[in-house]
Amino acid sequence: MRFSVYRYNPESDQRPGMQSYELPDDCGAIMVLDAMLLLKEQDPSLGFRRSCREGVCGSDAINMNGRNGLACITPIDSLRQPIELRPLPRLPVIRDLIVDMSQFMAHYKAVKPWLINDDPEPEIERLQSPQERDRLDGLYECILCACCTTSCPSFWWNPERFLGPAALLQAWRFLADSRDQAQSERLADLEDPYRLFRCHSIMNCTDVCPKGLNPTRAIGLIKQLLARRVL
Amino acid sequence: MNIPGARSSSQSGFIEWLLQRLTSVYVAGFAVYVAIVLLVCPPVDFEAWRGWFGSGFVRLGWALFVVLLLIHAWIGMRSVFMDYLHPLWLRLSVLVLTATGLLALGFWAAAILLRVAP
Repeated sequence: MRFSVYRYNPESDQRPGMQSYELPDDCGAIMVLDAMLLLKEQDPSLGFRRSCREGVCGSDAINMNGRNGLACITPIDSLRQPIELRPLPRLPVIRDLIVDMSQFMAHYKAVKPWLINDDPEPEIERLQSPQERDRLDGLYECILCACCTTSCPSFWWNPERFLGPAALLQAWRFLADSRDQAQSERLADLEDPYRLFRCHSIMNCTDVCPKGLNPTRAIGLIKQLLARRVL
Repeated sequence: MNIPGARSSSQSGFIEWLLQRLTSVYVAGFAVYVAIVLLVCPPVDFEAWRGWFGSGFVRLGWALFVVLLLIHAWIGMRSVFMDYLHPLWLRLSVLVLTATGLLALGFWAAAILLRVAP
């Protein structure tokens, strides 16, 4: 198996480069992450993030043969060789495949991803009907791996100002929550030309989401809600 | 600087998005109407064409079409420039050129519509 891996150490390298690696075909690697762990045995200087190795934590999101995904749930057989491994696009590289997620997390924080409810806390819990709870399906499952946001051209062009699909999916997750009381404030924060409205429904986000979520639909529903308030 | 009472965001993104969609409804509808007229009962000669084009309602329809089309084009072009043109001087220059071009088209259309008045 042949690999071409993005290497960059800002402390010692003038510029990034691609390094070739090889593994025997019978090395036992099934997923890309298995192969990366074997490569790291070969070359301990190779840097990447990983944790749960089963598609739950989102740490090992990288770009494989030009497409974002989680290395731990991407079968090697599904990729043409040499398999090109690169960091997530448009985020600053800390080292090799490790990117700086500060901007991504700042956007996430900006949509206030928590329940805002000023009523006195009930004794047990804030109740929802089964239908109200159903509206949160397909929203709460996001693992914040950043595959969607870093594959979005609108984020590439305006990374500081456009919130990106991951943050906007979470914005809708709280707009759609029957227990939340800050709908007007949340909507008002999204009406400027950049935060929400740089989205042009390109749908790269929905295409790459490793959890099968649909941020484009969530963004469309936010726009619909905004329109319904004035029409 | 934090101005008390001032909102951190404006509504302009939403208003532009909504205008873009509302104008497109009329522009598309009118285009279909014109296509049907030309297919079903095309004016046979210049006089017939002028007669149709110069009648009050059709002229009003065209005038509205041109105005809404220019608004639609302006919002769309501006949106593209916001995506791709980041240096302020470049975006401003291109916006001025676009506005000049669109206004020129508007004046030209207005001149035509006034000239065909019966």
